[in-house]
Amino acid sequence: MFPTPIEKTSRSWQLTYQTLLPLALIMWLLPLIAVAIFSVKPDADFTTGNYW
Amino acid sequence: MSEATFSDAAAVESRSWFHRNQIAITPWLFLAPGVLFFLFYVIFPIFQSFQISLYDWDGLSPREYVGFRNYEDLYWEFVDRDAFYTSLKNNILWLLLYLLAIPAGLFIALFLNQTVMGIRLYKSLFFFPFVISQVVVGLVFTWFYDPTFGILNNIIGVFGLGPINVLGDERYVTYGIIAAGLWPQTAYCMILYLTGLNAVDPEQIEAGRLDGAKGWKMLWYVVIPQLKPATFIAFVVTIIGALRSFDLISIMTQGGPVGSSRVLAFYMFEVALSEYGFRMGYGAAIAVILFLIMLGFIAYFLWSMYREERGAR
Repeated sequence: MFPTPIEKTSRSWQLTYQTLLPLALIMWLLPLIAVAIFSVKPDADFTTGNYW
Repeated sequence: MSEATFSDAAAVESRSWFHRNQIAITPWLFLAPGVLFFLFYVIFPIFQSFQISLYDWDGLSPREYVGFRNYEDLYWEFVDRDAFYTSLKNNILWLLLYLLAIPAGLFIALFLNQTVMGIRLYKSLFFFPFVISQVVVGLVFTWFYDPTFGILNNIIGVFGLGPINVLGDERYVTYGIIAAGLWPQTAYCMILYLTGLNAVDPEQIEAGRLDGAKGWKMLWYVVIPQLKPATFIAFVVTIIGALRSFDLISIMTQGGPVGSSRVLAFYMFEVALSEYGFRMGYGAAIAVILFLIMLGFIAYFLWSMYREERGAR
């Protein structure tokens, strides 16, 4: 298998990978997450300029 | 014995031509519907486009034969750096930058090619941008780039930059649209490479490790050569996709601002079918130019595949 299975690496590499995985996913889906947040915000927030 | 042989020979002679050639003809009969559809919906329109490009026609009135005047007009548009020049330039930009999806897809595939808990869910979610419609991708990125409420400007604002009106600035608009297009294309290349990585020979990996290869050297000398089929398909689909780009430009900018994000496919639609167009002959000429550009790449790909098949025999 390539790359080397993460289970065979040191504990610190495993923790780094487990941390990077969800962060990478959030960055990858950021446009969709932003649209999802937008879709549930009330109209009043937009009219007052409170976008986020 | 000889009588039985003679009667067998007579029976063979009496069969119809179809029965005698059935084995040779049957594959063609199965292919016939597909071939007919292909001829009628692909080949015939190609020749018809070329024919229409020789006319000045608004789609309603009688056609007027003008020869190669439409191509002459395109040539002068190119020389004067007008719409056709901009469209061609943007298509070349698309062609070059869209190829970034291939190494990006490989990088993400290598990142996800693990067996940790939940990795299948991660792979599915990373593939998600390819599943959604290009129209949705265009809308999502239009809001993403918006200078007032777009999250991109919020993020770069944290670093003291911006706001940047990506889709409203002639300098950035094409790059912004290409970035939007790279999102689903990278997901597609990722899946190709994940499949390819599953097929990599573990013995070769092991032999490489025994010889001391690791990291970049293992990837470059052992893994990537085995990913050649996946890379070829990724290359073909990415090149064709870059030349066919239309949806994102249509949704995000309508070719603007001031036509700076036009590509050939969108320009062809604008001049032939939009409310400002109705120049079918001119649009057909652009279609022929686009087809000839694509034909060069398609011929190369077909030649590569043919050479590969001959080498395999």
